[in-house]
Amino acid sequence: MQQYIIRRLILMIPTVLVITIFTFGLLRIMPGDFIVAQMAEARGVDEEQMAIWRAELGLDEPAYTQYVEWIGGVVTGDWGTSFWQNEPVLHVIGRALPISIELGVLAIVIGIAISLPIGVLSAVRQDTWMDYLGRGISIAGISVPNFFLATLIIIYGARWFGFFPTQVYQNPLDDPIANLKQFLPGAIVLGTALSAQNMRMLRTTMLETLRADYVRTARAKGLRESGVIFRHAFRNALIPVVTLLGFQISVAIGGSVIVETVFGMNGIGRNYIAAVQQRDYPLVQGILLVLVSATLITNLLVDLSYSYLDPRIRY
Amino acid sequence: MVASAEQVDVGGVPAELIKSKPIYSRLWAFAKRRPLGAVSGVMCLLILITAIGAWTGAFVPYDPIALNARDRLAPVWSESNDGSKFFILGTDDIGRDMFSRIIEGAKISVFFGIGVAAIAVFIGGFIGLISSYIGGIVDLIVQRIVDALQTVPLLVLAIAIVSISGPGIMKGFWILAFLSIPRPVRVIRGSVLAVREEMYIEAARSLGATDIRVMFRHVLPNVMAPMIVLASYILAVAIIVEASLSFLGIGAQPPTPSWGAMLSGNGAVFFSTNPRLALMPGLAISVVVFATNMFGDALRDELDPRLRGSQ
Repeated sequence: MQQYIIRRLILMIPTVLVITIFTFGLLRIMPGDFIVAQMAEARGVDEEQMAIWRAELGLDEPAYTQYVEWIGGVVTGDWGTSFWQNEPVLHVIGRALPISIELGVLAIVIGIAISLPIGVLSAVRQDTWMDYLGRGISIAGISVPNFFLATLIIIYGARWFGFFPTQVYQNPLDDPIANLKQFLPGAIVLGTALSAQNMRMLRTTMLETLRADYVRTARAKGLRESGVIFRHAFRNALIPVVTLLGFQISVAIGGSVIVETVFGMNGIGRNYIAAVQQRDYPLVQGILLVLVSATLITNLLVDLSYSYLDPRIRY
Repeated sequence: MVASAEQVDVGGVPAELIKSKPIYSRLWAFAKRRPLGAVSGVMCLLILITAIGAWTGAFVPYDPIALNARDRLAPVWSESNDGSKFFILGTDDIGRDMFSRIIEGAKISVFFGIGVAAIAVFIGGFIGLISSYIGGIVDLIVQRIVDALQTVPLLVLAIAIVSISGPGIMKGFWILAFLSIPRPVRVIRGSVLAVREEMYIEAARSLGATDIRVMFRHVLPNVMAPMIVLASYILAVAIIVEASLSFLGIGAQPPTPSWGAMLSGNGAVFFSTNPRLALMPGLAISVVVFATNMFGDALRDELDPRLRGSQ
C-alpha cells in the first residue's frame, strides 16, 4: 500500500511537467502577448518602448530559457510576478484560493446533503411517484444553467428576502455570518448542479447493488430493510459516487468561473480567465500548476478510498 | 427464430408474441412503460421541429435582428405602435421581436448541440473502439492523451482556448466538439473491453473474420447503447456550455440571438422592470436541456437490462 502511494506520487511529477510544458507552449503560441494586451488601451507607444518593456518582463528570451527559469523558480518557491497585478504570483493565488476552496467545499457539502437522501429514496422506491419526483428535481437541477439561477437568486433574493450581501470579502474567522451570507448563494447554485449528478449516479448504482446476490442473502437472513440498504447496498453503491465526488472536488477547486463572475467573488476561476485574456503568463501558469496538482492529488485520494469502501480492493 | 408471416407456435409460446410487432404498438408500449421518457421524447421532437422550422424560416414571424426603436419593450401579446405587427412575446429593449429571437435561438442551440454530440460520439466512438480493441501500446498512448485532456474542467479549457482563437460561435463549436471527444472514448472502452472477451467474438475470429470485420460487425452493435445515452448527455452539456460562453461574451457575438447572450447584457440590465427579457431565454434553455436529459435517462433505463424496474 505504501509503495503504491509513493509510486503514484512519483508518477505525478512527469504528468505535471508535461501539462506545464503544454500550457507554456500554448500560451506562447497565442497571438499577442501581455504588452499588446496593455497597448489596446494606450496608443502611440512605439516599438522601442515595447521592446524595453518586454526585456524587463523577460519575454524576449527564447521559450525554453523562459521555461527553465520558471521551473527553477517554482521549485525554489519563486513563482514569478504577475504582469497584470504586479504582485508575486503566490500572493495573488494565496488571496484567491481560500475563496474558491470555501465556495467549493460549501457547494460539495450542499450537493451531498441533497443528493444522498434523494438518491437512496429514488432507488429504493423505483418507479413510484417519489422516484419520478426525485429524478425530476435532479434533472431540473442540472438543466437550469447556473448563470440563470445565479441571476435569479441575486434579483429575487434582494427583492423578496432583502438579501444584500456585501461585495468585500468577509473573513470567516472574524464574522462567520456575513461570510456565509456571501458564499451561500453561490454555493447553492453550484451545489444543486453537483447534487443532481450525484443523485443520478447514486440511483443507478443503488439499483444495481439492490439486485445483487448478497443483498438477497441479507434479506433472506431476515435483516431489516433499513439494515440491508445502509449496511450492505449503500456502501458498495458509493464507489462510483466517490469517483464522481473526486471529479467534482477538482472542478470545485478550479473555481466556477460563472458563479464567481456573477457574484463578484475574487476567486481562482475569475483570476484565471482575466489572466488568460491579458496574457499574464506567470499567473496563468501558476494557477494551472495549482489546479493540476490538486486534481492529481484528489484522484489519488479517491483511488485510496476505494480500498476503504471495498476491502477486496487492495493495492 | 420464426419468420413473421407464419402462424406457428413454438414450444407452447403463442405466435403473436414471436412475431415482431409493428412500430407504433412498440412505441405505445414504451410510452406506457416509461411515461417520463415518452413525455420528454415528445418534447424533444417538438423542439427539433421548431429548430428545423426556424432554419427554413417558417416559425420566425419577424426578422430577429432587425432594430425597431419605436416598439421598444412592448409587453407580451401586444401590437406594434403602427398596428402592422403583432408581438406574441413582446419586444426587447431595442424593439426586436422576442418570439422570433427565441425561436431563432432554438435553432442555434439545437443544431449546435446535435452537431457537437454527433461529432464527439462518432469520432470518439471510432477512436475508442479501435484503441480498446487493439489494446497494447496504441491503447496506452490514446488513454494517456484522453486522461490529460480530461484533467482540466471543460468550461475552463474551452474559455482558455477561445481566448486564443477569438470569440465566435463556429469557433466555439469546433472547440467544444474537440473537447467532447475524450468522454465517448472512455465510455466505449468499458463496453469494448467486456465484449471483447465474449464467446461469439472468439467464434467469429476462429472462423477467420478479420479484426475490422469483428470490430464493426460484432463488437460495435453491442456497445452502442451507452453511446446513445452519452450522446444525449453531450448534447445537453454542449447547449449549456454554448450558452455560458455566450453569456460571458465569448461565444455567439451580437446580434446573433443565442439564448445565453440574451441572458447577459440586456436581460440582466433590464431585469427589475422587464424580467421577461431574461426569464424567457433562461426558461428556454432550461426546458430544452431538461427534455434532453430526461429522454436520455429514459433511454438508458430502457437499454440497460440490469436496471429494469417493477416490470
